[in-house]
Amino acid sequence: MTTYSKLPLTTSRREILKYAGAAGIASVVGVPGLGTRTALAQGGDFDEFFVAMWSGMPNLDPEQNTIRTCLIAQNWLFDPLIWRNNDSNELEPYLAEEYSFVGNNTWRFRIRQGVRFHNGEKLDAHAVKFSMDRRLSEDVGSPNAKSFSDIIETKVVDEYTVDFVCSSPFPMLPAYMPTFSIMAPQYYSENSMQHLALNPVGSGPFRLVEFKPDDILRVERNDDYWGQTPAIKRVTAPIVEEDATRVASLLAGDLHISPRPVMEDFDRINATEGTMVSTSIGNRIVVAGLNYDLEPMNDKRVRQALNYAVDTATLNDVYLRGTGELLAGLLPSTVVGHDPALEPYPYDPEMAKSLLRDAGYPDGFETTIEVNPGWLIAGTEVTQALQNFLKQVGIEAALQIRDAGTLSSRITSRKAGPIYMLSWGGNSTFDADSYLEVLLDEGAWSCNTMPEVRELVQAGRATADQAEREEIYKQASQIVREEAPYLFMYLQPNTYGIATNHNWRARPDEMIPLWHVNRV
Amino acid sequence: MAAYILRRLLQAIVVVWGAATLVFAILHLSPGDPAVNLVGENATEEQFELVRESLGLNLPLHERYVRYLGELLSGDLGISWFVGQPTLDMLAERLPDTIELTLVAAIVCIPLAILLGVLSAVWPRTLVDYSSNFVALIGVSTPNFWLGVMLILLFAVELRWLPSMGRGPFITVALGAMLEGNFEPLKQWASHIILPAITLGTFMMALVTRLTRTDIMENMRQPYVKVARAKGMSKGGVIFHHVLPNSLISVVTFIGLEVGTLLGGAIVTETIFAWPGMGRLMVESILRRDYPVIQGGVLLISFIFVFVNLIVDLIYLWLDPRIRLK
Repeated sequence: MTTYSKLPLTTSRREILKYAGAAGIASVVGVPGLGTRTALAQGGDFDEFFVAMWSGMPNLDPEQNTIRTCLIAQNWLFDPLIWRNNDSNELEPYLAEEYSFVGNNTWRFRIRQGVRFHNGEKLDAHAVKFSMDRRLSEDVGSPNAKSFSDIIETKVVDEYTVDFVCSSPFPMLPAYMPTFSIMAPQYYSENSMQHLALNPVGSGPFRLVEFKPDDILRVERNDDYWGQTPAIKRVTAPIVEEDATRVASLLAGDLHISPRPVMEDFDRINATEGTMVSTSIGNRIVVAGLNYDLEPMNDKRVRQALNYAVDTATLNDVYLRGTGELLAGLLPSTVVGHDPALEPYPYDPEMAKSLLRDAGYPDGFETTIEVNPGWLIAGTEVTQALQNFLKQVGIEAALQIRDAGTLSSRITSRKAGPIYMLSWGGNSTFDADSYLEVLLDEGAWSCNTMPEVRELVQAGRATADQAEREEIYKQASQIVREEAPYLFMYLQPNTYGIATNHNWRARPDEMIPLWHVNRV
Repeated sequence: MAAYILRRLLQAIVVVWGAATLVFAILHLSPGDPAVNLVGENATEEQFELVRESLGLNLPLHERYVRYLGELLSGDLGISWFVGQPTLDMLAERLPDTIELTLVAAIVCIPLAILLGVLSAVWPRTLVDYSSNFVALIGVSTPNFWLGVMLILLFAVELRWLPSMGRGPFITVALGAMLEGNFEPLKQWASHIILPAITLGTFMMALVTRLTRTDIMENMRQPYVKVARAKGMSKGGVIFHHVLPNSLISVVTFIGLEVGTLLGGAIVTETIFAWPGMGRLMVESILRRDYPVIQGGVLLISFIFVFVNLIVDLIYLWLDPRIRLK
């Protein structure tokens, strides 16, 4: 993947022109105003708004994918029951007017009246029940089913009231709701999965115009929207996988939002008139997994030594321009259950060497670090830096680059590592359960053994009392910090290059809602 | 003639079968699990197993292979695991975009390359020759992932003459509008395709320039050139009527091979320019391990490769009667 760091970024227009012998070719066909830029120059509402997607969108059926870019687009087309506030990131009712835990492991939602789907169908409690039943149906085989598997039954109480009856209090249910899309029952019953993959029908602020999988999505304003009418008439979302192209397109005025620019481009984006970088602390933590099944990571002293050996603050400064947040455990400050009293491990190579001596490795040892570079910002560079920090305390780590499928498979089968790089966004729930349950003990993403934390996770799931849950997770966090099943690194920011003529800014949940975006 | 074509067709079937088998083996024997990508990392082992079962991934390798060949013979390339659409439909939708880009790259670059090659052969060791050598050298030594980004920086970011990515209307739509007097779609089409076409075709242009120059210079030393000149034919006439056709044999061979390579090279170019062709489809599918699409795509590319080379062989027969006699 090409990055701007390899290009002569300081080249001035005059210098570039010196090499532009080929410019005549373009002058034959090129005229000012060609392409997409023209839309940026118009006043009032945005006639057209351009958002690049950094990876493919294969389909737009909420029950046929778990891909982030698809979730972003689905959020333009569908409404969720609960949404996260733009400023505070707190959960708030959206399509639901109110919701509460009513006892007997039951959550009750009152649905907004007068809402219709894009095809004219009525959105009511039956539509909500249909959508949840579809999510949990074995025939559909939704990849999202597992997150909602605690729901035993969805009951229609009256036309606009629905109950989710669960096998436990399921306190995380509201946190999962922002990515639960309500679908038009008749339409989704009558059409094939193949058709639904390409032709979504929701009740959202935008309706579908054109969708070409892994290529482009076009939507237009839903003028009958029940909520605030968007100031954007049409949205075009091309898939632009190449980092350098996304940034160049932003600088050229072809995009309003260009997600995930590489850090090396930050200065260039900020220095260009009309564009800027927008970052937000998010939910994606970056850690190095330590495999308990492979020696010497089964020794707590070795795991702690690794945490002392790496200067994560420097990694944050160099590779994230200081926009990350250092971790003292697995729960970042944006997550319910985070313990602010816990301090990150300090950088102390002498302490690391001492712990290694105590563990029987006075001369260090040889090991392997596995990484899929796409899972974290500057994946290869960060891992190489980690490798060098470890070398300074005598640990010789060989670097193994893996593709996502291979490393995922090695983690789920507990064969990864002994050290493996990992990032995890907690399913965008901002709830401790989504981190601890998945990353520790027998979780799908874990290569460690922590039965005491497992018990606490179960206790946290057994109550809907948030204050009680927070105490439980703080207790778990202390154990996690002490046992060091991971080399704790940082909370990765969400980064975007944006045009300055609108008021959209980066959000913690990685979503790009557009109905409230205005021209500035 | 018919026997020759039949023999070549049989060879083509063997080559395509070999490619199909090879890609099947590579995909199914390499580490990694598509089920992880399909149901998400935090699914349970039971969910993974269900997915593997539904996709037939839990069958022994030989059973998977037999099933795959059976589906292939019945013309069924399967359904994409991630897009949920028939692979054949997806390839059919993307292929015209790649062919369009490849053809425009070839049309822009090959005539220019032959012209440069002829000029530098006719006037060797002159400014014309040195200039064309310089262009060829730059073309050969510039990787298209770098060239593409540089062109975007120059023409889209700095000069703002051309769009930075994406595609305009399809050529048939643009031409249709032009016939009705509307030139805007054609402008849109041209402005979007020119940078990726130059990026894709530059390397080929450089090689064809060098090859044409060498072949023409070699042919210029042949006795038939002296005979033709002795009979009073002009230098230009000799080059155009005798030297160029003889030289084009190897150039056509090379172009035949390179058009297949262009299809492969389009993967990088399409990714840089967000061009909606087969290359990007393949990249996305490989990253997700969408086996049906990868297998179908490789099969299609190998088929095109074989087909183009068959055409090249038939052009030989037309260009050089001696091959026909043999």
